[in-house]
Amino acid sequence: MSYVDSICIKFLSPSVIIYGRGNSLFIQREKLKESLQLKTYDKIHKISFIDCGNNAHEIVCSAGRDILLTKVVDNKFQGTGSITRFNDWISSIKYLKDGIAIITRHNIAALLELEDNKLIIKKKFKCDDNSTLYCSFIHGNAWKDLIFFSGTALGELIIWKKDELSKESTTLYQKSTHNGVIFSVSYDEDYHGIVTASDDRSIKVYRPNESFSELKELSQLFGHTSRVFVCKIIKYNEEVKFISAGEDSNICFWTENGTLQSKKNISASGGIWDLDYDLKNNRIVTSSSTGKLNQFLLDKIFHEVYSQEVISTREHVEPSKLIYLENGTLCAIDSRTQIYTKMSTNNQWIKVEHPYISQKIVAMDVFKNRLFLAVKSSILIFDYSQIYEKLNFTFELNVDEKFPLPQESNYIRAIHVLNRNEIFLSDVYGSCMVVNVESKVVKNLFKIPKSIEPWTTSVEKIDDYWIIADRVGSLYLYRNDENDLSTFQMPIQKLSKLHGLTGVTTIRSMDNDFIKTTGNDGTIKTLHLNRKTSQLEFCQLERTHVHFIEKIREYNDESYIHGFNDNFFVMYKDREIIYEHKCGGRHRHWDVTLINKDDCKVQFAYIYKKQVHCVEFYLNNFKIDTPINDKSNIIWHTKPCNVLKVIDDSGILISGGEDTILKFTKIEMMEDGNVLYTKIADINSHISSIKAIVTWRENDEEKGDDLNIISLGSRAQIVMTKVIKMKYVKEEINFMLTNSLLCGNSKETTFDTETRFTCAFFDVKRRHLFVGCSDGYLRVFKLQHNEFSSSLKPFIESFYGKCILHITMIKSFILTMATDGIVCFWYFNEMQEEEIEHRHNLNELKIIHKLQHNQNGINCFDVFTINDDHYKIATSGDDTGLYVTEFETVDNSLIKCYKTIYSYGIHIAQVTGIKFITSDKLLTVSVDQTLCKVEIKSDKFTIIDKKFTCISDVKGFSFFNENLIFVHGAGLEAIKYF
Amino acid sequence: MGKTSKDKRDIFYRQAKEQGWRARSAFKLIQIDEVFDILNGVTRAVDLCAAPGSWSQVLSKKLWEPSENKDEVKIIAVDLQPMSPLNGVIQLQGDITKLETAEAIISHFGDKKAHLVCSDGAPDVTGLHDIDEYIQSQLILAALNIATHVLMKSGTFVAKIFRGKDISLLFSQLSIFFEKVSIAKPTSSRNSSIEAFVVCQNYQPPDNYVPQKINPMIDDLEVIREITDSEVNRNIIPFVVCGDLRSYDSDMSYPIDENYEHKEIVQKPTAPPYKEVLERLSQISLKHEGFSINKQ
Repeated sequence: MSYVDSICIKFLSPSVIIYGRGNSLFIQREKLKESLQLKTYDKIHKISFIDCGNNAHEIVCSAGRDILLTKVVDNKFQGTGSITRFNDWISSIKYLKDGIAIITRHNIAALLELEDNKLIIKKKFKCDDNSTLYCSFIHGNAWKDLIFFSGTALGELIIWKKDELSKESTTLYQKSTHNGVIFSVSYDEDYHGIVTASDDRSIKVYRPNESFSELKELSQLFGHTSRVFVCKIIKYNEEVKFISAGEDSNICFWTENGTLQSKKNISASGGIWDLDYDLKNNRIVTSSSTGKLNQFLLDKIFHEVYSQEVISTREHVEPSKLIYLENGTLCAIDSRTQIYTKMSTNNQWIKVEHPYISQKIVAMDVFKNRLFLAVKSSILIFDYSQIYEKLNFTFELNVDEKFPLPQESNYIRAIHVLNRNEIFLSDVYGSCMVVNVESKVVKNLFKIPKSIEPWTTSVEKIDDYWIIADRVGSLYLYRNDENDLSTFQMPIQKLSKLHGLTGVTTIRSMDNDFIKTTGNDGTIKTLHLNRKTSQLEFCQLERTHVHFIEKIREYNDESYIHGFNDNFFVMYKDREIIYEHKCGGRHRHWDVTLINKDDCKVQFAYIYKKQVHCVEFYLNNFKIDTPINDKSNIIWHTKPCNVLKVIDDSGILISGGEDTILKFTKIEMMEDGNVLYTKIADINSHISSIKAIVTWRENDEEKGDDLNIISLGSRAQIVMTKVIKMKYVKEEINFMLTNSLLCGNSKETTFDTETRFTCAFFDVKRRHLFVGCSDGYLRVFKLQHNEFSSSLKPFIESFYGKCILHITMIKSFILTMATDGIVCFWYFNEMQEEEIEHRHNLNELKIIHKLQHNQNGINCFDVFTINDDHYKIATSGDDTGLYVTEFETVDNSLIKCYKTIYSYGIHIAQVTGIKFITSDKLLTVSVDQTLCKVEIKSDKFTIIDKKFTCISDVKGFSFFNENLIFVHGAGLEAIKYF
Repeated sequence: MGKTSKDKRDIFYRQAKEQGWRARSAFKLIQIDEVFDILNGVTRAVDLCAAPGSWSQVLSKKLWEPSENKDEVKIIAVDLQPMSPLNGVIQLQGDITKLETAEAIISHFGDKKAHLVCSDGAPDVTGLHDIDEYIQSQLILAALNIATHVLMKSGTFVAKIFRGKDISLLFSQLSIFFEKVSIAKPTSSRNSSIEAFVVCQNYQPPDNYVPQKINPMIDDLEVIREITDSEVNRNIIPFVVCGDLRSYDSDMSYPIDENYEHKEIVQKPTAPPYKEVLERLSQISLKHEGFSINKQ
């Protein structure tokens, strides 16, 4: 099982898709997934097939220089398949009636035929232009009729074919069309049109003449913010559409006249490499750089019913507020405090009869089909009558006397409905109450501390605790005391600016005393209510793609974020923008309701330019049905994974990389030998790339045995996280220099914000965190705990002068390895803090021995313990040399190194992983995508076994219970231990 | 991030600006020369994929400027993109995959051939490492192809490589034409980068070899591979670190003092492919919307 680029995807039939993921070919039918055992050397780039009847298909795939042939019968792979290797990279492949056609990367067309289970070149001819191609397309079904389309690095489009007379190629058309690489070219015979997609972020549509010697450029389409990798022409309900997708994770749906009809973003999946369209079900499937597949149901995507209405024809009267009842009735209030309703089933606005409202309606809320309006110091309650199908005024509650502050200037500023009869009110002076509207009994009184805007934006109750957010961005915790109504309760805890200055927009309680909050800083934060300390503790942060989060709501048990990006209303889920609509921005009244549960059809209403606008659409996400034989639910890093650690005893995989996400994944070995990956949490605390992870357990009754993780990386950031009960993740420390500066203690640190923390080791006993830094320092931080929190304090440091890449500890010695290829043994004598006169006293942290290993950077190492005093260290790196030295710790300040043995030529590219299996056997992995088992005998290194990995840009490997090897880099692959 | 952010993270980027180099890659050629002495005695040099021109700048400074007889020094810089002029450097706008480009270079040298052909070119990467490494190797083959036409016997060829899973095939191909092939890793090239340089010395084409365009599908390189891609062969490519390990470390971040003055880069990038989009972004947000230019 791997998470790696899925570069090509095809519909084999309306219900069956076939796709390449890394160097494996997969087929997915209904809810079953199957992979072909035979694997290619390079990743699978192109797939073509021919229908042989009786539900049988011949499949051909190109993968670099390899061509894979296999057969699918009754939607299952049949036989083992075969691979033929050619000299040049295959750019395009197509199954014809009379063979298999290919175009190579050097613009050569060839006809292949199968002979003795091997493909052989029957015919070939080259295009006049032999530029290296970035894309190509083969049109036609028989060799003699083929037309070839080629796209080059220089933006040239070449259309060529075989000249029947000369048997050589004829270039029909050749011209520079794009201002950059052409990544995709496609021709549609029915439309008689060509589309190209390019590095210049655009798509071009052309109409060729009959002989393809002239092309008329019809339009150039711009909708992508990054490179466009694929573009196709499709026919949807007799209409021509252009579909494009690319590096920006956007899929754009264009009409024939060049209008961008819809754009969907699936950034969690990474860049989109390929797409295919099924005409029967109007379904598009895409494959992406994380290996994730997505589907887009065009009937649902294109369904958008829009209306804009004036609710009152009276002059100078305009809608001011709106809200939906549970039954889908839209309630709107105009500037003259007149209330109107409109049912979702008809378009008639009905005036609601109610007592005269002399003052402005300040706030409103709904519980099911009951509407609450706050006017000055009164609450007006309306109920929807199912019998009369209209909203009726029910009663009014005056809370004048219940608020103790000046009545003239005071009024209810916010209302939050708790249930049918209980509401939470706050006034302009920060006085809050919980009142039962039927019994008129006040149940609680709270006071928000003084501020410019001390009224509430969101409220949540957990048993006897109340969590209240105010308009200036503070979150308060109150402990309930129902019996004491003589005074206003004051908060027991304040969290300032939790989501910045503009307030917490939602507070949602979850299981086990966890709370999620959102705000206009685009983040979701998880807090935990610690009942022992009666404190809210920060756990984790999730950055979303929504700049201003306003609400979280559930539709059909799925949670959606509602918010705004620029002028657009956005609905967002699982790092995907499900829907967006241009509505003018966030400063307006709006609401959303589910109008059809079965289809998940919703309606979004908003006020814009004095009118009520409604838009109806489907809330379909882009998930493909999860196969029952692979329930893994993780989405892998969208950028290279720098570091990965497997916690053997609990089966947790912790990973971090360039996408700044610290990922916690549960791994389980399945009976069929596959790995089940289950998401535990994605932590967004890092602001830049993650370079190193250290883990430990306290194994202490007081401190518990929770798993602790320290992750470090760029921008001089250290994050300490705790995994509680292997289920929840809590951030304990987020150390950043900017925080130190804010606290005014910048003098405590000597490093710059641009320093990268490249490696770390935690000494559990002495609570020291040793950190290798890109500014050439080895730094020691002290981890300190008190009753409520933990902190990291810079303690001592020593300048080495090279970027330190790895660090470990043997007994009391610190070992560092840097870009100079030297293994340094450091002696570290911890003195009591008061003993150290100068913070940077180098005498306490000094190099006692240097061991020259590699020629330059050491990218990996491992230490083997021979006995109490004797060890072996193995290193390798950019120079590909494998170095092994035996050393002895003589006493606490002396190292004795014995002979160093080394070997070059095991790998041909940078070695990024090395591990001792025994004292004379090593496992290594390299950017050359090879894992080698190496034996050392008589000082000589011999490869005794090898395995290939489909992961490119390999950054290292980790082991799980001696069953699996996880290779990480540009993806993740689990390889059986060998 | 502030504008000095990259200055702190990348010492060679900072140094290039301070010393007037068009790009930090100038240091890579300088460091390769320090070890391999490739510029010694060179009066005729070709810089392929030259833009923005930092390697041509090094050639100009090291070969043309100190020369007493400047007319004798011929440096030809080839690129598809135009670049700002450099003293003593003849610019050719051309495609290195085309034979005409080789002919144009030869026409400047007259009946003489080049002592050195170098290339710091890299392709437009796709993000798919296997394709990117393949295209880079094709770019080197194109550069080698030019070299076989313009390089004198015993001449030197230097080119940027991406060391990946198929690099041994490229080494094998280079070993056919050069007596000594080494991998050079300048200290100005980051440890984390898969980039390195092949330094091919003593050009000795096979007997009776007629320079031609190498085409992997037409020419049977499988034969070459079988001859040269053996375990023995791939072990003999030495790895050489270039540059003083005691000097700057490209992976290190170096703080700047308070008197530091930020400098703009010497040579701004030529028109990127997305220039047209950038120009239009002031009118429309491509994040949510799109636009089309109707050409009908």
